[in-house]
Amino acid sequence: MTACPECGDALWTPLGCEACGVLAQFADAPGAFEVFGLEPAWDVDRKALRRALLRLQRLTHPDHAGATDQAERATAALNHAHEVLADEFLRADDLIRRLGGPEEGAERQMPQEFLMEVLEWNEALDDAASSPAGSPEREALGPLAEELKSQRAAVLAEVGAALTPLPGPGTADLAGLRRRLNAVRYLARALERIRELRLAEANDTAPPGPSL
Amino acid sequence: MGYIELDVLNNDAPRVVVGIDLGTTNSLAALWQDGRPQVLAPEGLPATVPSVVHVPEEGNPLVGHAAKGRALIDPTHTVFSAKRLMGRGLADLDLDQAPVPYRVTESERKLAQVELRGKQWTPQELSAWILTGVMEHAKAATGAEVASAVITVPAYFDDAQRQATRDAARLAGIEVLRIVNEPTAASLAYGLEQKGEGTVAVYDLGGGTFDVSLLSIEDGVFQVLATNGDTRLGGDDFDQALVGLAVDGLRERVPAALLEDPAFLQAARLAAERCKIALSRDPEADLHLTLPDHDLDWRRAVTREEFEALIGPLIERTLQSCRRALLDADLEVGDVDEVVLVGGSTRVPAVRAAVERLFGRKPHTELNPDHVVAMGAAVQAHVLTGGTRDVLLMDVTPLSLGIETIGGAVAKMIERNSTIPCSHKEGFTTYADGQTGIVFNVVQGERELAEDCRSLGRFELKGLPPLPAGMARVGVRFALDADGMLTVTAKEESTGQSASIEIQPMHGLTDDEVEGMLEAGFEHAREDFDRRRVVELHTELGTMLLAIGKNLESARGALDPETIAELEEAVAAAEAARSQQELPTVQGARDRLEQASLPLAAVLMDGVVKQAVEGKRLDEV
Repeated sequence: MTACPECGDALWTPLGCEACGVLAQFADAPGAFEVFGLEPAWDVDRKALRRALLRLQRLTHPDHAGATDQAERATAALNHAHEVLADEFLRADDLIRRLGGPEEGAERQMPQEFLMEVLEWNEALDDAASSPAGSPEREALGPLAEELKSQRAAVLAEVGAALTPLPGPGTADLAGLRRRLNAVRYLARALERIRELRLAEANDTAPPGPSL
Repeated sequence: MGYIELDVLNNDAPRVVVGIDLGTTNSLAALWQDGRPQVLAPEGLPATVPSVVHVPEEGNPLVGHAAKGRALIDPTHTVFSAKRLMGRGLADLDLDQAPVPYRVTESERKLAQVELRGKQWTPQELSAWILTGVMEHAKAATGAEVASAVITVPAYFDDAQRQATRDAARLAGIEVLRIVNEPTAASLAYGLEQKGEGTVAVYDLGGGTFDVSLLSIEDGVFQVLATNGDTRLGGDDFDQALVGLAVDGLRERVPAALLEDPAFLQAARLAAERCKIALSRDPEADLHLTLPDHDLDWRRAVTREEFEALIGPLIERTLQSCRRALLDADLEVGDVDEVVLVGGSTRVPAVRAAVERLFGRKPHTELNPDHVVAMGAAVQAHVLTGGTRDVLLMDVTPLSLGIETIGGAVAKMIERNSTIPCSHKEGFTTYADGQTGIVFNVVQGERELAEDCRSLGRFELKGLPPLPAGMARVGVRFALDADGMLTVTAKEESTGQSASIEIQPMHGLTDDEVEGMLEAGFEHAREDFDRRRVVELHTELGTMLLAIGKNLESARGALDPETIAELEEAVAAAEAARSQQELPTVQGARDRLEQASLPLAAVLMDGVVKQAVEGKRLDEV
């Protein structure tokens, strides 16, 4: 834990000092866990995270800290860190990279046991997309969404279990975890597609967007 | 630690920081005073300044009520709804659907502008005049100069429209402390943070735009969860539906050319507005259109039921936006604790009923829906000037931002509804061997293809080292500030050679253009113009008062007591205004006197006609 260069108070976040309001200078944004003064871990107390977010916003937000480049950068770093920790996919991605695992671009496979199901799901999605509103194919989207959601929860639970407690260097199959995360990403995209189909159906228009 | 600034050198009028709602139909300012936000209205005048600009044959433009008064007489030189043109091109505007009586053209950079008396007016300049009117109004109310302001924009305004708003303020000589989204401002006005935690839906249906925002309030922090809307849906469209009725009813009776005549369109618009307002009060109202020059006096009864059938599809569109916002925020209607109504169009009973049905609860209507946004902006101005730290606003960006990639797809850099300020960095590379430059097309919107999104500008990163395809590493950083405005920088990283680019505003004004307009005398013209106008009005008031004084006694018997009382009050106000210098006050007094003296003029006209006819008879005898 470092001390504030201005007032000497102990700093719990690299963003700045709550005691005297001084914001830190940084070239590269600090890590998501560091911003909130947390040890990297899969488990995050969502309520405590939210409280800390609101508290830190009062420190860094340009409305309170003044419209400086520093305040803009610190708040952008804070918002990004919160986004990462609040989202299970992004949090797992952060942890895997921290442990030296492959980036998303370096390991593009999904787990073998997943592939057959993916083909089936894709087919169901394409059928629904090319069928009119109210057709059985469209009606099937509801149960399909539920299935995808429970799959996503299950895969994320596996990933979370493998990351709890956080494995030491070289002890975990990080490539395997990355492949599972790729499955999570696929599921998220499929769910997004379902959502847009339903939205378009509700609106009877194109997917959401500005009319101009 | 706070220090008190001592400003002993400046003996001018005190300077204040206000909140300004720069609306499509009306604009107004509010100020934090006595512990609460208050709208600024000069004594005896409404707070709102109509967002109307009239360009006379000679001299500087008229703004507000004075300009609105010219709409019927001189429609082609009177601009309504300039806000709709801000940061837009002709192709965006769909003028066939909603024709305007003035002439809209396009600049070289594909920006909409208005041609008035041989000069091209950018919407920024027109808005600057409106802002000038608002500042004069504020000054008349407080006696203080407006130094800087928080200005509101529809949540769904894109970068170009926000930039245009900033430029307008700059032309009007206002320092913009913050651009705030209108529905977000509205939630501040209601002081809902004092109720503790909860989720709020703000439904904002103004003259020209619709916005809905969902916010969570917790510990004094307002966080926008999702926002949605339609930049081209508002009360003007309700009017347009009634104009359609008038056009249909008249098609058989008048020459086709008249139906497209600017004077007709303007008169029809005003008649439609009157009818709409009456229908919010009464179950039936007249759509009454007169054009004395064309010998037209047409009347048609419209029932509220009929009106609601016409606007039903428009209201449904607003509800769709609400549903999208709920989906985006991952909320159910039952999660919403409070609903706030904003914008004059929420006075329409059918709108209120539809919102209540959707959310299953009675919306807040305690504050004047035309004032709420400006009041909220005043709260934010109070926060930004260090007045309070009890409230903090975490806003979001309404539209996704990205870069066009090879093949015309969009690589999303910042997702819509991301909390601002925020930034994102992404690596890009070359696709051809030895490529030494990359052109970036920055786009805003939700569609998959760049051509379906709005291009905010293109920039080129030159001087890349000639490397095999895919080897160059270009880091591109998007940063959205607390106003929701974008800065893009790019850097070549493989060789450490860096090049930063500021994005050329494709739809905004360049700095040079703003400077040019300022140099062209905008600043001084405004002051000179106001002073000259006040002198003219004083003279006019003198003439009017003289005429009234000479004729009132002889005509008194023919007027009812209410008319006389109102006329006498208007005369007293006009007498007082002769020694006042604030344009809005003097203008207001003149307008009131004119209105109040109309019955007197009518009586006098009758007398003149009688005399003339009698005289003729005498001659004949």
